[in-house]
Amino acid sequence: MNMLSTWFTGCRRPASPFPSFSSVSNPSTTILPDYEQMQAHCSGRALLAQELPYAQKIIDTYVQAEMLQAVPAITQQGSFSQCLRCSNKNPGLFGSHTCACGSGRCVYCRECLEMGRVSACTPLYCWTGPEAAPVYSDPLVWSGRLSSEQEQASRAAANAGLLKQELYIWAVCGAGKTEMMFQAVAEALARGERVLWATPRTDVVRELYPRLAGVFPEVPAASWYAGSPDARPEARLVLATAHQARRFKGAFDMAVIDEVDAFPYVFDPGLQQAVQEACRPQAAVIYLSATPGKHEQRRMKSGALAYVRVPRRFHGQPLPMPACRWAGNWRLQLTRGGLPHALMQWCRSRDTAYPLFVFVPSVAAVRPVVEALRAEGFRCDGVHADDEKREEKITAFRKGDIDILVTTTILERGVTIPKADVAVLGADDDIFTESALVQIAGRAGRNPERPEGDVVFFHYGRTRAMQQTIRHIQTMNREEAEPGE
Amino acid sequence: MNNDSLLSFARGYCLSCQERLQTSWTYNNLFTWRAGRLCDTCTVQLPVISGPACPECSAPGHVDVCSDCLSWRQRAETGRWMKNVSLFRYDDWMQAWTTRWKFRGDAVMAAAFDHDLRRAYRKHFPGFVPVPVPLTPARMKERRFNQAEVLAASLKVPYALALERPDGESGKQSKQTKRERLQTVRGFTAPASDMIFGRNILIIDDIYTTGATVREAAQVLEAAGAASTASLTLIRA
Repeated sequence: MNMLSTWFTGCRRPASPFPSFSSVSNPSTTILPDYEQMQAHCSGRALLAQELPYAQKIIDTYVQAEMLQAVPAITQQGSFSQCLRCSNKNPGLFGSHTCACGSGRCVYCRECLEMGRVSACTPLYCWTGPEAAPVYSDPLVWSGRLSSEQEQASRAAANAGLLKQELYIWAVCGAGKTEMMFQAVAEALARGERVLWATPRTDVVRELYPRLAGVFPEVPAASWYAGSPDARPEARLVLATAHQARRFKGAFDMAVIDEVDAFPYVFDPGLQQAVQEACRPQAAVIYLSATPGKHEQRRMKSGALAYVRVPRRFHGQPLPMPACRWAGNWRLQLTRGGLPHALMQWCRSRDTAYPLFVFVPSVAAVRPVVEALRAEGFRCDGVHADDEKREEKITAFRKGDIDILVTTTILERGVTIPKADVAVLGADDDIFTESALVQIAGRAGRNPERPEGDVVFFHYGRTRAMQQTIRHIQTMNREEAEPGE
Repeated sequence: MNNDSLLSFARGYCLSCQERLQTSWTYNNLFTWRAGRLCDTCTVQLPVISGPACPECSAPGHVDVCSDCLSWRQRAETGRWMKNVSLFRYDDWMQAWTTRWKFRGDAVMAAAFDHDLRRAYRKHFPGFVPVPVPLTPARMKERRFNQAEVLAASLKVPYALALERPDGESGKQSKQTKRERLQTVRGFTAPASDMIFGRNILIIDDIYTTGATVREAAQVLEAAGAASTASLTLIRA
């Protein structure tokens, strides 16, 4: 049974072009140099010859011994091409040129070019030999305790992992989703399985990696994101952005997909397929999110998708309610180099001991806000998606070297700054959808020592999304007050 | 090879940043070539060489012949050398562009500039025979395409692969200092051919940094009987 096929509406998976893993017994009599390294390096991957740290001669030996299979990287049917690594079928994302291989024009894939060019005349090598399945009995080193709701979700996840099922964990922001997964991941590793933890955001990978590597100290773990330092190919626990999941093929027995509802994962079927192809056909898939989309909610209600709901934060306190404040025409004020009076007043009046996120709707708005706040004497900095120093600035903010961090929606999810307050400037902008605003409000009050936290939406007219956000949070808080739904 | 077939694939997306094209339909770009190749954000960022530039090498910011060209004159190796024309400056944007185009191997990206190159060819070098600077066989095997040949092909006039380049020189020029570049001998050879003898030759390359490559190629071509030589390069660093 293909667990994921139901998840992809209208895009059923064709038969996999990649060779399935045969259960060939011991390597035959031919001498295979560096067998174990090669096995660790190649299993569950589809690699170009240049990605293998071995000479072509050694690779050919393995191909002859039927340990590796060379698969053409791009299949062509008439004028249509498909890249086998990233499943790109879009004719707009292929290119071609006269090739030195001598066979005239070769088509190459532009979609996954950054991972090393895949072209029609280069094969991808897939491991077809026996799999290594190192068992890590009891790999979890964690002294924290789970609340009873967390415990329940954790058990459901472990069960889904065992039975290779699909499960959606719908838990509010700050419910401790990561901790709920520890048990399930530990059990999978103890069964000798490989685990993928996929998220849509680079920042989430960066934040999660040290936490997971910390609680699973013996397990080889790796993090993959655009520009990540060379990761260990043999890792048993892999944290990756959805884009980077393309590096794996049929490798994982269990996938945890964090923040499933996040852009760009939902809007790019290619990414969903990438995650699907990285897993084996019968893999357990566990989705985590605070804000499931309409489609998933419907499937949960109808019983098509098993789910667990955790309406309470791990410290048991209600979610902070957002307050709405009129900010006037903030766009105009930003072009004039000023900030709305209401925001400035609020920044001055609050207790500056606590860090503050200021979310703005666009990259262009980051700089004027930072400058205006600096002029007022706040220690302030701004980040956006193309910022090269993003990581450093977030670290500085976490350490307390910066009081106010102005950000676009890139930090809306997956980032934990303990006692932060949140302001949204221009909450009426289209980019702030209900799920975005719920996630943003969830940045506040994540620490048991300060569970309240302020969330203020500065707006120029209330939108439906803002009202839905408030209703959403109210519902969650009410459910929490009367458990046993 | 012509670049229209090169472009038969990569349509509808910005050739530089892969964003879906949403070109604003103004009269201006309805009648110019850029619509459909680059998105508006990238078009704005193009470091086009406009305003004063060295008449001999297109180095931007010079009103008269620049000091680089004067020192080439002093070396008296100029022979029947005419001039170099470049289209773009080398800035961060262009560097990122080149990295993807040349080193990652996204050959079609050059199609964004073929109208510009053709226009420059018609304006400065009508009737010249384009000769792309070759790669060493080893580099060619690694990269699988010659970026200079891609540019030469985009001119849509018959070009001649008249130069040959042996293996066994030092590493990439982009990793060398100016002095090293000037001292490197690339060892071009040009077998005698009708395409060269008595013709005006236009050397095509991707980037003009010190001018050492194109001038060495020019000498070899002149020795093979070229009437005059000039060069057209995409970028003037």
